Amino acid sequence: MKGIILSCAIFTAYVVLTAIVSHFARFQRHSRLFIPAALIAVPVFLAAYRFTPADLWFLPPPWQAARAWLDAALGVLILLLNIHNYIDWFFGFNGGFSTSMMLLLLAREPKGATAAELIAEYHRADGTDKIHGWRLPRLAETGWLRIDPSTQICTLTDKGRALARFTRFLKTVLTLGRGG
Amino acid sequence: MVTALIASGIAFLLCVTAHLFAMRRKPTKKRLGAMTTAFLPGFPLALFAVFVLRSWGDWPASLDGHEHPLLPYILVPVLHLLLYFLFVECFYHIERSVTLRLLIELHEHPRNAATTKEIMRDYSVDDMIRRRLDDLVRNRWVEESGGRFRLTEKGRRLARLMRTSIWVYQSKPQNERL
Repeated sequence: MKGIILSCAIFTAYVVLTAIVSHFARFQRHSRLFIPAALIAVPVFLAAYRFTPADLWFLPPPWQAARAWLDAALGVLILLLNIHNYIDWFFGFNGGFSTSMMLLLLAREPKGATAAELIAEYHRADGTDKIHGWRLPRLAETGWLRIDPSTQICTLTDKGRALARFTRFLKTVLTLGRGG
Repeated sequence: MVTALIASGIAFLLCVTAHLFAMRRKPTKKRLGAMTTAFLPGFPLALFAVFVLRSWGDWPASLDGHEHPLLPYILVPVLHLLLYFLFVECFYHIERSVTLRLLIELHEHPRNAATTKEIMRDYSVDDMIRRRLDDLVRNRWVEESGGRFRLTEKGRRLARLMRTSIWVYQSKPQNERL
């Protein structure tokens, strides 16, 4: 039980601190905050587990773990699952495509918008779309594909190809179409 | 604790298998509902698995040592819920990700290469938006009348919540990133 309680406490601190830091530091890429913070949260949890008493000052003996290593491992597992849920919620909620469309509709209340008006919001004046426009250079920067500067031809790198194959396999297992 | 982990693992695997099997037999567009339907029986199933495992002689109840007998019954629903979230999130990472779709498009392109213009033409933003509008209308976040899309009441509440969240994290929605 100690592992679960500490895990929830560390997770709460993780959420509060990342929200505060995000608000004031104004990250361009929030993954640069969330992932290092997750890597710090795990050793912090383990240190807290190591340096607090087995009864956590209030747990009666039957609620204390028979095997401390297992209790700590379960605490880490729950912490990682919670952090994953939180990061996923963040990117789905704050960075999601549908989210941005709903926000555009909220800004255009009560008139609403046509599909063409919404589509126009995702294009710059020069016709470049705002979805591929930043994503392709980002994928090149992070090593998933290469873009030939003179011809603008994109090719996958080895790790990009491996990820594409793996995704195709997962889509087949999950009976999905092309999606995206 | 050990029995809780084993029981959650069993329930998770059975629920995932049931969902995948159901989707092969009778595919649906309402996948979130289908995943939830597959995972809901997992809660009583996992609790039943704890009961069976604990009454199964010395093993594996002995692995739990002197822990309170209620502990695995508390842990199991928590673990099952977290594993359900994990599965749903992984599903949508794979299904909805624009980045992963881009990589597949490029991989399956006849020359295994394409210009940025070809990519933007074959996997256009117009299609992405129209597909999402269909989803939003189907799930009643948005309604359409006379060719115009407007938020429903629940869509408006969600959008306001999103706007607050974006303010808290100072993040940018997709249409403001370039």
